[in-house]
Amino acid sequence: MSRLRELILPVLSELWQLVLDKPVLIGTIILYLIGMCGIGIWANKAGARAMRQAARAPGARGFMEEYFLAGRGMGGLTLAMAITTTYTSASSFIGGPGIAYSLGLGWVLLAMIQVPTTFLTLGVLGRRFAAFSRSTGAVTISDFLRKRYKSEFLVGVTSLFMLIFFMAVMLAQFIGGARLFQAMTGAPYIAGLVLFGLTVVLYTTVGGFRAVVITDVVQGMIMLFASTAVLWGVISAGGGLSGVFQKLAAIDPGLLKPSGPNGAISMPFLFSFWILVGLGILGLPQTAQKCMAFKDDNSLKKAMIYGTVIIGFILLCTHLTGALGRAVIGDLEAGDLVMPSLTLKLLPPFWAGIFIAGVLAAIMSTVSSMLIIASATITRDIYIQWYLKGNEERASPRFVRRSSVAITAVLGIGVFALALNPPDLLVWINLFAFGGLEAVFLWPVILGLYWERANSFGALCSVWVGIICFLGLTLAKPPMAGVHPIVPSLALSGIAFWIGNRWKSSGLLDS
Amino acid sequence: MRNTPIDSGDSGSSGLDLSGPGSSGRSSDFPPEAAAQRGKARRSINAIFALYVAFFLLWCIGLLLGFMDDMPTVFGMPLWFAVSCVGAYVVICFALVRTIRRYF
Repeated sequence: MSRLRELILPVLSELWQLVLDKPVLIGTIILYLIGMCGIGIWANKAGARAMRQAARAPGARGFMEEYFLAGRGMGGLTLAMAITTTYTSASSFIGGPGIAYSLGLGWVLLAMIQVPTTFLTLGVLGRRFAAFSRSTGAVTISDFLRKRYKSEFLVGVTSLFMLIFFMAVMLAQFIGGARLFQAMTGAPYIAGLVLFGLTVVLYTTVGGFRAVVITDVVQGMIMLFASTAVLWGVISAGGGLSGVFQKLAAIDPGLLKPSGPNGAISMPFLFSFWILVGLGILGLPQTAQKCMAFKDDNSLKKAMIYGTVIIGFILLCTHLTGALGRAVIGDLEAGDLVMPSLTLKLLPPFWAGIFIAGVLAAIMSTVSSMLIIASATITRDIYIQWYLKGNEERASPRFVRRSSVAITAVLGIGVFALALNPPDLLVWINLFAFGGLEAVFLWPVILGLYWERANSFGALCSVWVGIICFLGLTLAKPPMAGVHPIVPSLALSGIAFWIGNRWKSSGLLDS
Repeated sequence: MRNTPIDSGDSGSSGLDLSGPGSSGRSSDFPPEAAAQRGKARRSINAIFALYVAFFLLWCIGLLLGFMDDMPTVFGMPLWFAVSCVGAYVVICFALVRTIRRYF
């Protein structure tokens, strides 16, 4: 207890000093964080009635659907915002614009590959996932794989990889957010970590998936405002659209070319991103799970339109801001500093606070979605599938509720603790985790939905070949002419799925 | 390790169109309404992929324009950027609305 007091009291003291020094900037951020916690508590009360009804039903299925999928009642705008905010993270606001600052419009071109994310995910996975998960009672990707392939070993392996990669992504988000707060306010790293780390853990734990989706909508709106405000500021400061492009051409004509200065963006690398952030996103569990939670067909259609418009707008604004920012601030040591520097230079304190809130929103929504999926996976895999041998009717709703809340809190606090001593190379950990998730999940999910004859042996072959290939190529770094490791990994894991499937189907394995 | 055929689920209660290609059984086993629903679902998936390919092609056209020797501009921005980033984004948003109205 005294250790905790030693940790918290100096942080509170530093924060109070910051509030006195920069009252508008810090006040806006703190108000935003308090608002998020308020939404968590409100979502808890709003969902309480549904939870009580669910608790009266036999077994824990009702509670699980309420806590982990908000009763499968997401409307169009909510679903669109949930996918947008889960997909966009610190890299969309800090890392991506930072590289665009160094490489120019070529990196904006690369970022725009992500525009079809929402309509591709919902169009390909939406109806099928909704149908399958409703008929089988699945609430997570692990549930889907279990019911589809009837293999506990496959579920165990994929869940393990999912938790590992989720922890890596969450860790990177926590540290990225804390460092941003540190850079923009001058506050110590620990103050930023305490502020938004505890906020996200609190509202996710208290409110469950319902809080996650409601905060996603608010956070999505803030991200929209924040990205528009900074882009507007940069174009105004640069002397209009023509003026800012002319200044970029004067600095380096390569900044206006698709291949970047000195051909820094190779064509194989550019086209690899059509796999990594294009088709590959169909294998991301955190976005795929949203397809289980929408209300009806109309919600799906609206979400496809809203999500595509919003995600494209945010990506275009943030990355273009990074690229054009070179014309306004030309001497930054690191590209990652471009967004914080532009914000502080161009925006009044209130809007700067809104921008930080927007970045924190992107980070928090990504973390909260992962927390809730990780918690659902552990609750169902350990308690229901292993302890109760899969018999949901025997599960005590009260115990499931308490354990779900406890697991969410423990996971969040665990990542928070890891972030206290941040490791280096966080950006690469984030990209690495995304690639790893795609290597594990893409083919088992897609072929599980669309190929009737897909079997668990094929899926297992795909998972192992995909992950070994991805890890091997990422760590060994053999010369591949700029092709990202995810491309051969997904190609080989797809072939492994087909071969494994044929092998098992032909009876060769049994004989 | 048996396969689980994909069930169409409880469409009546949720209001969802839960049919789709790859459902259990052959198409000849389905009543005409179910077969029609499966056909509609298949068309919607095809439409999504067609839209994706269209976006890819627009993006590629812009990319190719970027390798021209002279660099024409539109509203101050390079033409290739206007086509592959701004234009492709706007076109895909309008095309998506039409596609969803027609095929979903």
